[in-house]
Amino acid sequence: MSGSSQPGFIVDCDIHQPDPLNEEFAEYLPEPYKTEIATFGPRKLFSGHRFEDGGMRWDLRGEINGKVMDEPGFFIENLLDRYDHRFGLLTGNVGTISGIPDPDYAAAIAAGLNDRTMDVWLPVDDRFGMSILVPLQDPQAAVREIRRLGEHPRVKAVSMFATANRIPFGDRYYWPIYAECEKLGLPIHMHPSTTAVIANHAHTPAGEAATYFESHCTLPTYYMAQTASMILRGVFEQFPSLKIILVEGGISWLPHLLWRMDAEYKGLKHEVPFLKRLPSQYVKDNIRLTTQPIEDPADVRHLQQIMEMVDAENTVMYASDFPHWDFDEPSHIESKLGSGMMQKLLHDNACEYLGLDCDSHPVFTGTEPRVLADA
Amino acid sequence: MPEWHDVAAFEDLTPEKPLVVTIGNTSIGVKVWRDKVFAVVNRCGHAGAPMAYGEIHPTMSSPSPGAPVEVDYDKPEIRCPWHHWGFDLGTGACTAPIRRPRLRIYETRVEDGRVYILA
Repeated sequence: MSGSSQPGFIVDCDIHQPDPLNEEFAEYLPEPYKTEIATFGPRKLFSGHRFEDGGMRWDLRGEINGKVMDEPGFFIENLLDRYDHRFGLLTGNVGTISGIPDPDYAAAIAAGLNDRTMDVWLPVDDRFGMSILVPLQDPQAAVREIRRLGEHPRVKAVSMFATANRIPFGDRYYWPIYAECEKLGLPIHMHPSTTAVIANHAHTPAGEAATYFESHCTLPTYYMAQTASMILRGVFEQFPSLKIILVEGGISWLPHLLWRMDAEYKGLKHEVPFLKRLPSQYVKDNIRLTTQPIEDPADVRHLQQIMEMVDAENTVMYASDFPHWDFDEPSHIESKLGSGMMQKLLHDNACEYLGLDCDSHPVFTGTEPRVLADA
Repeated sequence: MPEWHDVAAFEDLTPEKPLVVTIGNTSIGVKVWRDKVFAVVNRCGHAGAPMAYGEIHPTMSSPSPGAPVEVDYDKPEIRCPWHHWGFDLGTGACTAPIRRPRLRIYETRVEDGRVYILA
């Protein structure tokens, strides 16, 4: 176990450690999947899009100081140490399992990947925590996986892939998962999967996207639909302590949805008589959003206004998305939003929401670009 | 006044491995692409990424949807390693129609197997 003796500052809600589904990984699987993976490789599900050149930062190719991206040490050196992380949430790279039709296969892969992360990644640095994968195809199996691992002290969230579902997240189909997460205090980590989205039989609510570009820039539409679904079907009345994190879906879509839901609630509340509050009020209590990819308007004041509209100082948390191509350094966030809310946005909010041990309370002293120092 | 600086042997440059040199206080990325040498400031004005690790591509355009794509190898662009923004290697302008950021481009020449940068 390594890790700095002093707590760092940055709390990072989205780090993608590689999850190679290869022969070595097959050792984490029961039969018949062990033989299947070792013989035939993983089952394929694909959007048909060209991913943005593998989806990784180009400056992280090959060896850096003798380490390659498959190794925890690479992440420690190029992320945790470089940016002074206090905590990094490992969220994996295999959201595609959420779209695989076979629930038993999905459950086996999810459990194997969770075990591998615990074996290979967590022991190396005590700043790593993890979000566990669960098979959304079978909520009862998902509950079993949460019960198997959810009380592990390094498990800080449960992953659901917000763009990959045949049934919207407000549906009672998922409620056993929510009940278990609420009981254990584990947030649900909702993350896009531009590959698994094909399980919806369309990349966007409008239909198939021709390109990765078209698919990727419409991800917020899924978050709008999932947020409305959860609020308007009463998820947060049923599970008032449930915590949701909306990752990588942007932020600027939220004011419109909140205003529209609150406006229409006045005339349509008879359809949702179980809701006791304005829809927007559930967001403040039950939902957090993450920064990456931070929106990039020509006039940064417009983004700052939206941040004020969504009470970002209390509802937004930092995510790097390391090592993906649209990674954001902490200094990039500060350059957009100013330093005033960085204490809470880069540290406090996620410390509290993820239930980290935050007895010591480092004070924000500013960010700076950290890559070029060694370039 | 800018001066010519001898920074490397041409044969040591490869498309796969970027070269970073410091001239004065400025970090500069040196790239080779289709036997031509390019030098750019090693910091993207968008989010601060190291441009030395960017990729050089030909400019691609199309007159209308469905028309054949025109690939212009004489007008290359460098794309940033993060977020993949493109910058014209002739002018330094972003290849999207925005005024800023721009990328500083340095003149280069190769003489007797050595690479020189005007900086």
